[in-house]
Amino acid sequence: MTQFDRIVAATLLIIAGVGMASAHWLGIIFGAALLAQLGRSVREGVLLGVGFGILIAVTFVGQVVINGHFDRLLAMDILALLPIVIAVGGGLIGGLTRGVR
Amino acid sequence: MSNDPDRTRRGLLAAIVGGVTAGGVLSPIRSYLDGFAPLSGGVWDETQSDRRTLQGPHGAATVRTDGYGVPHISADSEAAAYYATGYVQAADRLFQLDLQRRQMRGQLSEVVGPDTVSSDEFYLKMCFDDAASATWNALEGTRVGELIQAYVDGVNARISEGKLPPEFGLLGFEPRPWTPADTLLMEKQISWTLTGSFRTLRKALVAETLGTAAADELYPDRLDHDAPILRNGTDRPAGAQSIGASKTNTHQLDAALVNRLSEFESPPGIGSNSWIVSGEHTESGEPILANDPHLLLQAPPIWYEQHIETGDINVRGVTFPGVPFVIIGATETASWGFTNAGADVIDFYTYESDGDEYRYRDGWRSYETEERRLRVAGATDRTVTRRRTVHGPIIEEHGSEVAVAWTGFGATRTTEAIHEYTHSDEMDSFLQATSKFDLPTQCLVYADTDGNTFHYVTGRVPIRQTDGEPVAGNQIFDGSAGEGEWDGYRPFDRPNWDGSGFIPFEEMPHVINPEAIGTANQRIIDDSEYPYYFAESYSAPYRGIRLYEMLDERIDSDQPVTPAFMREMHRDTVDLRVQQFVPMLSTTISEESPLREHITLLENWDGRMDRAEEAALLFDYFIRSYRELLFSEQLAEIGLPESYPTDWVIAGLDPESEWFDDRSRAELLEAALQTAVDRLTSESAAVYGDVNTTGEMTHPFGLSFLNYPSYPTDGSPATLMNYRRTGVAGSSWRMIWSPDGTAEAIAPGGNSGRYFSAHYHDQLKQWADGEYKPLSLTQDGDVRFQFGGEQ
Repeated sequence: MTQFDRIVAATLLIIAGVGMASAHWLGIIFGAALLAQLGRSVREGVLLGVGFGILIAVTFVGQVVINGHFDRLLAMDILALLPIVIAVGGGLIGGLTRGVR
Repeated sequence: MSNDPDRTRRGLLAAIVGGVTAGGVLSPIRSYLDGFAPLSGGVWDETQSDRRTLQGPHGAATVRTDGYGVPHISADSEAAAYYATGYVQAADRLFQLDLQRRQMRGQLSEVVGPDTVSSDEFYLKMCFDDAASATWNALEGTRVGELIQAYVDGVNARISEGKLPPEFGLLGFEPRPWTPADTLLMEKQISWTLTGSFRTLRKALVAETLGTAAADELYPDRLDHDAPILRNGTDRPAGAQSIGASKTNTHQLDAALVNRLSEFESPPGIGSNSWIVSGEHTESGEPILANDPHLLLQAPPIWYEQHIETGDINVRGVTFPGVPFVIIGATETASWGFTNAGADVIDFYTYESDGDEYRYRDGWRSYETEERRLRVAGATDRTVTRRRTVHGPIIEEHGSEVAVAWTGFGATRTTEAIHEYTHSDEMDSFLQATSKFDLPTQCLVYADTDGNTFHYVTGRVPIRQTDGEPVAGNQIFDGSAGEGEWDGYRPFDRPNWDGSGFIPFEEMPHVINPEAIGTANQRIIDDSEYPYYFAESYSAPYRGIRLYEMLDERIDSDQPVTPAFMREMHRDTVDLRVQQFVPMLSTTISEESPLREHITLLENWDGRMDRAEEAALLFDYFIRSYRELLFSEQLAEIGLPESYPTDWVIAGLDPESEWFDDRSRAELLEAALQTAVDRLTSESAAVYGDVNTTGEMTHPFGLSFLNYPSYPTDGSPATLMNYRRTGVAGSSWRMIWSPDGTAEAIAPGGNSGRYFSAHYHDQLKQWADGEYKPLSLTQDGDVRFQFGGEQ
């Protein structure tokens, strides 16, 4: 697989992963797991999974900011961290599947 | 062998991935993941646009929302309009709907846990759910029943979409489908809030413990003042009371029972203000109506504002979430509002009993019993045994028990009346509808474009009879002896409301087209002017006196009444308690006392509970301290620690009263003022507005981010601009209306219960500052939901 192929595959998998994550929280794990398979090592796979999780978290915060609710989100204190933890944690779990292969 | 570490690693990782995923799916953590997951979590649905086109099984309807989040619903038919109403109420207030229903059905512990078991036991034993079912049984198949069903369909359409407010995610449950009986349960809830009183039991306990004289001194049935609502009596019937003077009876009751029941009755601060002025005295020549019901203040508010327009109706106002029809509001021809009347529609009965049966007149009857499971989250479920007699459900504690008769246990027709209000276009049809308003007992005020006004007490007040003679209801009756019977009363069935067991509608206290009338929960009518036993007691008259003071002064002056004057009355902060207590301090505390400078501060103050006033803060601290110093120990000794008498009673206590015990009144006044001064010195608050804030209005969930922001406001529990910051209650909806085009109102918070909504508390600051927003009957705003279009 060439570098170009990998980039194309990663882009497609990220799009599919974000779609799945928008439907259900299991989508974060599935999306991360699919992306992680592009990793050339377990370590790289896990990093890709975590990166996917961070992308989901950033997308989420971006949505909240665009819709004008960032101040309300911050006011939720510890609960505001839950979606971030779920995103990154789900990405990590998905990424770990690279090591099962 | 070289593959073993790899196999172990793969196995370990597979176990971690599989275990964590399975744990997320199968464990209670799932509710948090479902709720809070980024992008998909139900909690974040509220951050997305909530505009859509939906199917409308009852016909086409459009919901627009204006700049305050008020839904303006237009439809070709009422059924379509109320389907849309159900949908939009659920979109904005679903958790509130479910919480109220759970409370009344005794199902809070199922989701909250053991903390609410006591509450659930009470509500289960009171059988409110059966009363709601009986009321629905009477409505099912009628036109109103069809509209309620359409509303219910709308609520359930929203529930079925799965877009749940964050509170459901946090508690980890989903709401069951809404039912018509749930809507009727809301009628029972507000009726209980306004008329459910255990005062008879409380007073009997005090009388048993301390004697009837002490009980009468502490809780007098009538307060001495000259500002009843109907100062000239009722239109009909006039005449002296035909029953003997009521008496305070004693009864052996368990103090724990009475104290516990106090948690579930009408809380302090529940009341209201209303006034109407005829066109004869207004600048425009048109009548003016003002109303502000005083109810619990919370996030989100107890009321939901809505505007509904079909070919037949055009009505805007507020309702309780869970109820389809506007309860207080205005149409194109009229406006109406309510204050609590305080009529006595509840009685208590004891029996000769062997545990399984009770004696009723000449025979023995079995208790009607039913076992209900009380589910408790995180603890063992319990079984609650419900028992009933011919009079109603039994409530008991430590072997002490009474049966409760309450008009709300019958199939009430109030929802029919409320629906008919929206169709009324003149006074007679409005009065006709009011004749079905069985509960709660309310002081209804009305004004219309024909120039008519009226004040009419709604509801059915029982005529208690013992041996065929009318008797007062402020006593515990011997149920076995057939005392205190209500003819035609059938709990959990259809009572004969129009029979001889209740005061006829035509003879309820009322006045048609008065010059002006003011209601603020004070005594409705002097007993000498009315032939029936009507109320056990009324609220302290501070607001009632002030209201008439302002109305009389204006009407007697050269200045006509204007909408601006109505607003001035709504915003009035004169606290008449100041006129009672400050002179007491002035005359009893010596000139040499170091407290003199503080008394001077109070003496030089105009008695207005305004946010910028230091004296208002000092007075507020003083009155709380004086009340506690005077009564807290003695009330705790008799097992009723929070049952303080009204400030009117405290102010009027004879300086030689036994309640002062071995202390003099002067000593107590000085000690209370010293405590207030110490508090003022030690705390950071400098003026009244530092503590009198909207920050006390909280969300029942207990999470701080869901509470309302803190804005300073004016007023006290005794002022027309009404705010009680402890046990928070006050003006839950301020409304002014006149055919001259005036139509304005404000709610304490926002119309949406959705935390991320721009309308979560967008009216709060205006409310705190005594401002209003328009209450127009034009379709306003952008389309939010369109029903009947393509999916």
